Amino acid sequence: MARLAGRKFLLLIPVLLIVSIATFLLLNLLPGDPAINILGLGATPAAVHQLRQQLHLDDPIYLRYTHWLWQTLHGQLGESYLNKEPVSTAVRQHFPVTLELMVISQVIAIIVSVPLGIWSAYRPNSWADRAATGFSFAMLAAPPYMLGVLMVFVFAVHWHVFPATGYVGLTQNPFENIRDLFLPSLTLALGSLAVYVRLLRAEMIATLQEDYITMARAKGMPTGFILLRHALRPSTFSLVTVAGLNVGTLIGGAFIIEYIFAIPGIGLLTVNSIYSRDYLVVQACVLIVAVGFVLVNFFMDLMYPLLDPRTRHARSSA
Amino acid sequence: MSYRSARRRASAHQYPVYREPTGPLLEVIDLETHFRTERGIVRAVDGVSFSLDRGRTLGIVGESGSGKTILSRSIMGLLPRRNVTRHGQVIFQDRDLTALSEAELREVRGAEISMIFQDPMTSLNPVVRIGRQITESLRHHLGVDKEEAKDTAVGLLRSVGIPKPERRFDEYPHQLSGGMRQRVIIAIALACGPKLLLADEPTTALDVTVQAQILDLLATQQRDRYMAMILVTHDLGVVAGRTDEIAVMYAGKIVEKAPTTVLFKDMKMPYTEALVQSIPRVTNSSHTRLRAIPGRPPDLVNPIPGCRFAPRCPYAQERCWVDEPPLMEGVNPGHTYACWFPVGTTEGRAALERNQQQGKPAPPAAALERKGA
Repeated sequence: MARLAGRKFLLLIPVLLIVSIATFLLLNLLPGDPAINILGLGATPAAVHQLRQQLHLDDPIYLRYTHWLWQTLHGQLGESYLNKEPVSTAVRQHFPVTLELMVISQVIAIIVSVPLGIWSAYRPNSWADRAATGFSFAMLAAPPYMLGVLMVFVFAVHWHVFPATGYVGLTQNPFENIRDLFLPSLTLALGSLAVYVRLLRAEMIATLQEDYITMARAKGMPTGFILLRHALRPSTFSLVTVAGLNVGTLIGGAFIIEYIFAIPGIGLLTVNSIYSRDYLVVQACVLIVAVGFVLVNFFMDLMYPLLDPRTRHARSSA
Repeated sequence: MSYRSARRRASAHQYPVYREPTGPLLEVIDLETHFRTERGIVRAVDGVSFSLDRGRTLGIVGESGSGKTILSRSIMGLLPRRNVTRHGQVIFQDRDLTALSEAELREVRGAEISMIFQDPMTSLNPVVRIGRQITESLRHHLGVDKEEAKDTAVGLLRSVGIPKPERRFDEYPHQLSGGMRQRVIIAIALACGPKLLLADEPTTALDVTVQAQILDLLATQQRDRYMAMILVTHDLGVVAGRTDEIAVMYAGKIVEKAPTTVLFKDMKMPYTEALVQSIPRVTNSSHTRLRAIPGRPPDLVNPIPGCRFAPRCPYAQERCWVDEPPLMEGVNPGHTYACWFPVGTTEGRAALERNQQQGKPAPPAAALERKGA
């Protein structure tokens, strides 16, 4: 198990390198001169030249990349062009907020989708299953910005139970913090939730056809026991895969939702930095999101052996 | 705890109440199981009756699609409720299982009636340790604690011939071979000391060398526990030496039933004869053609009038296509068969001869021999 994790981790290194190259190129291939962007259109050629020297912009691209990578690995992400604040400080402030938002949304999604999926699979075509199916398709069809606005309208404007915008840090006031994050998390959760319900339902219906389920019934085990202790785990393999890949969608959704609810997360930071052409901040944000995505999927990969003993031997999973 | 005391305690559970045998253990009366499908109603089990005494073994034999697996699942009430209708009675120890609620049935399943499935590769849950798959029914039905359940389970694994049972207890099914898995399934089925074991093609998925071992194991366990068994199979060779009685199923009905020795000596139903003929024999010279039964199993949605075997039967006469033969008593006690022109009788011989003169399908070799004799 540990050896398997070690091997998978080694495979992670080239992936992360590629991610960093892509991130670097992404911003370097953008048209325009960062020096002019920083100094403004009226800058003298001498000043531009000097700044280009200072930022190593005239070096060959591979030199600039290795330099940037080296700095990044040491936590030196540079300074914001805008307010001269270290980029690492900005990222450190904003990243946990997005992380919390995503974690809460996934907790909501799983808490709701697992029982719903199990029940839909156990009683397919029942009214509960039809309701869950209809709800899922509605959630899949509705874009997060629309859901967000709808949530604000219903819960904040109409019922006044949750605030429409704003954010209090978790350490300052945990209760307020959860209250602030609930609506955005729920909005973010709805999309994933719909996918998870559909997926779990389909997998579980297949699992319930398996011989070992009939066998468990022949043993006289109660239905709830069979559903939870025999059928659920073998039905979650693709759920785990999709949950990992879903992080990508979730990040996209978080950018929009943070903007709607004015949550100071990495999404809001990125969007604002793009508007103000604060390249180093954008670069850092894109990098951290990409690395996060890769890492989440790495951990999801490690979940398989926990869920399915058949994949526990390094031989069979290579 | 020592192994010996574990076994003693285990056996205390395996025989919870010993009742003096009174009447049959299981009585199936006119059982019908029909499936509603888009094509129409499939009469998978169509009026089956038999009874089984304590400690006895009944073999149910038939081709694929003859309804034998559905029959065994109907007895246990394991079929889905949707689109399935079941009529008739399944009386087990004076209780009609068809009248029980699902919750009441659960107390019977696994505890008093157990089942062994055909494919050991798919019948064990791949993500659950072998130990828990045995102990869960012990804990559920007998309410024993974790430790005791484990001791019992290890004892069971040992008794079904699994080496190093303590280690196997913590392993997963994929770490065992097919034969070993079937032994585990037998251990699971035996766990609560059932009075009736339904073995649904228990050796079909295993290779031949392992088949004999598993069948011997079942026979030993059955004798030791004074357990009744229904052995469902398509292979007459499997049931030949291991059953007290054999019922031959065709198209959802029992077409012949007799004590095992009688059946092989004096079969009356041409279908039984054809099944016996289809067993390859060691004494045959090599490259002898296998005797397959011509034609296909009948359509269970629109059954033909008359005898359902008529289209494939070398003895079939006009009457067979019109009148359905009822189960008739044979000469030997306990022998019943459904045929107008039974094998080995004057009528049967005449029918066969008539068909041959008219160039109808070639009869099995044995029929020719018997005719000559």
